Amino acid sequence: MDAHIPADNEIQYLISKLGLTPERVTDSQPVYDAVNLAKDPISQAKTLLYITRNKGAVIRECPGTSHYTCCDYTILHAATFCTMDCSYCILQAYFHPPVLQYFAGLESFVAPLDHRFSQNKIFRIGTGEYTDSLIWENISPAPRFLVEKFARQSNSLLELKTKTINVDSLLNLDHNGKTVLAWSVNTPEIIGSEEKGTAALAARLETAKRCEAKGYKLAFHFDPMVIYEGCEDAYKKVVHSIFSHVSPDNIVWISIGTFRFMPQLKSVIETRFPDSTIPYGEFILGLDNKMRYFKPLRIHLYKTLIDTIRESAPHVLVYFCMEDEEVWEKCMGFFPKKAGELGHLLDRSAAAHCRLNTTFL
Amino acid sequence: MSNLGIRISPLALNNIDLTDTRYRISRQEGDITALALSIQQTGLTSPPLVRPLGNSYIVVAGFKRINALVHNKFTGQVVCQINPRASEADSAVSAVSDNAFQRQLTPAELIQSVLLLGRFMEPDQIAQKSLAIFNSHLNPGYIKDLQKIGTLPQQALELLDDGRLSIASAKKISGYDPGLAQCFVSLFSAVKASSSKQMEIITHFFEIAARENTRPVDLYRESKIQAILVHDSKDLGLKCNLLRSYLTQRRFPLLEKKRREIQKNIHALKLTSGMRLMVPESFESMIYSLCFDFKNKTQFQEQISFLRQISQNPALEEILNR
Repeated sequence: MDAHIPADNEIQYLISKLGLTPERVTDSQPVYDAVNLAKDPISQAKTLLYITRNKGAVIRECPGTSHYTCCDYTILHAATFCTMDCSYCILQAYFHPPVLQYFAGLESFVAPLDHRFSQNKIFRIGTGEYTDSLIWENISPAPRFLVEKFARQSNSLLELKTKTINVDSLLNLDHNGKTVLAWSVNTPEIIGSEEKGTAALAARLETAKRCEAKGYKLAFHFDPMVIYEGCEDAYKKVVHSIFSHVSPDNIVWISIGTFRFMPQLKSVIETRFPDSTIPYGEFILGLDNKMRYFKPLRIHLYKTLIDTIRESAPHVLVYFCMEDEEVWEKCMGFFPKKAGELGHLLDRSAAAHCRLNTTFL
Repeated sequence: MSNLGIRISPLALNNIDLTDTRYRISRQEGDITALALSIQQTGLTSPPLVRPLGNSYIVVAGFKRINALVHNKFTGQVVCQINPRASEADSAVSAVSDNAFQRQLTPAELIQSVLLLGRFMEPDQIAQKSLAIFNSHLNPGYIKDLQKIGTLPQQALELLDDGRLSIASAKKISGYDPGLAQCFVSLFSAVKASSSKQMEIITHFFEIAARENTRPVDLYRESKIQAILVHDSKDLGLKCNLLRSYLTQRRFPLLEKKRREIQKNIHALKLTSGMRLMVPESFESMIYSLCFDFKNKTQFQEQISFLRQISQNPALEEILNR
């Protein structure tokens, strides 16, 4: 833990939940060394929590990627890295070194959020870009703090994206409909083989159902979809399973995206997950220099999934995370071509489901 | 090590045991006719280094020189450098440095050298002394890699010297079980591939095996691959191209099928000479390019007229619809 951080209520809560005595460091170098000098730095990083301050921007725009359509998401930078161990996780290759950091200081969120809350536009803000939003739920007051903070405004939606079932502390909060609890979903085969340490699909959906019963709006992210023999039927079953647990009316959106990765992730997967075959699909180098499935394969799987979703939930907003005009046109029949158009679609769904101020649309 | 104990003495050639090759780092093969002729005409100007063993001497450095004397049917006394006090480790160092300071060692010699030195020193120690032994700095990791490569069959070392197996590929292969390593050594004996193509072939073997839930060694034994490797052609480059093409089609079946279809349709357009249609790389982008040459307005109009014609061609439709 950063030696400069005072042992305030937040930190005392965190430490009491962890049940460990933190070692205080005056700078981050010993932490980086402990990670970098390990035989497997990524695994090591998952066992070493660094409590520190966020020295950068608390709120950032999603970087997106060139040549593919982005949803104009806003990221609340509350922590980095993850304790779960998904073979395909981009964070393994994204951070140098990967460090599991908790950014202490709930008050640091206040001013940047208030600044957004005072603007005449809709924001979709999430904490699940550089970490799983809810791995922190049972040790930190931050998720609760954010849910309650967002409950008291009317132009922003908080999306907490997770593969866990850690929602207990959130269930009875007065969220005022402004928080969307979102699950990354995949087929049981992929969860079993590639998502080490995550909750089973059934557990995620049961938890979603509990949250729905408490008035929370929901979202699901089919991302990354993995192509393997029998995957179409398997993904169809996931869709059916979602709608057998929750009502389409309470789903703000469903995003879909097939597995894509920076080329350097391949060797990480091969080294850390030697039994994984996911890097050996028919990948081509995309226009953004990431490996992507050959486009007809993506389109085929997307169409199958979208058709299945449409059968049960014709009105739920389905969107692609990082796809191009051809994929949109062939799968959805339209393409949000103009800058901000996809974001606007999502804002409308957010406003409708979360009772945001529609005059900002 | 010290050279203070070295003396120069004539020894009877038949007192030198040429069957003891423990310090040999060069390949036994090679034409020594020129060296034999040179010794015949100008004498042996650089005395071989030997050390006593029992009642005879063994060669530390200078195998070729002594073999050249044998080739010349020389039976008298040969002037040698003898270091009776040198340890086995000292002799190993001498065996390497005698060669390394005369010329650049071949990959196989380098590997034999680190294997020889590895009998007496750890890689870190070899690295520390490398400048004095090898005339260049070697780091411990590289030395370990070379020692690992040294576990490959002898044929691999020959391929390395012949430039048909890169150090990078040999390193990769040396990490596999001996059966599979032998398969790759046999494979690279049958084709001629650049270093990057070797790595591509190895990678394809593993990825195809992973995709198809089989083993690389079973893939290697498949009749289609064996048919390419034993192909009648003596052109090893051609065999390499055939193998790569087969592996690529198997690794990326849909992409390659699409490429062939598009290529067929481009041929069907019968483009004029000087006209080129470029499809998007891997069909990811939606942007196609078309270039054509012309020298004057007439030719320009002819090309435009041809473009109008092909715009009605169903093959173009096929290309654009993908």
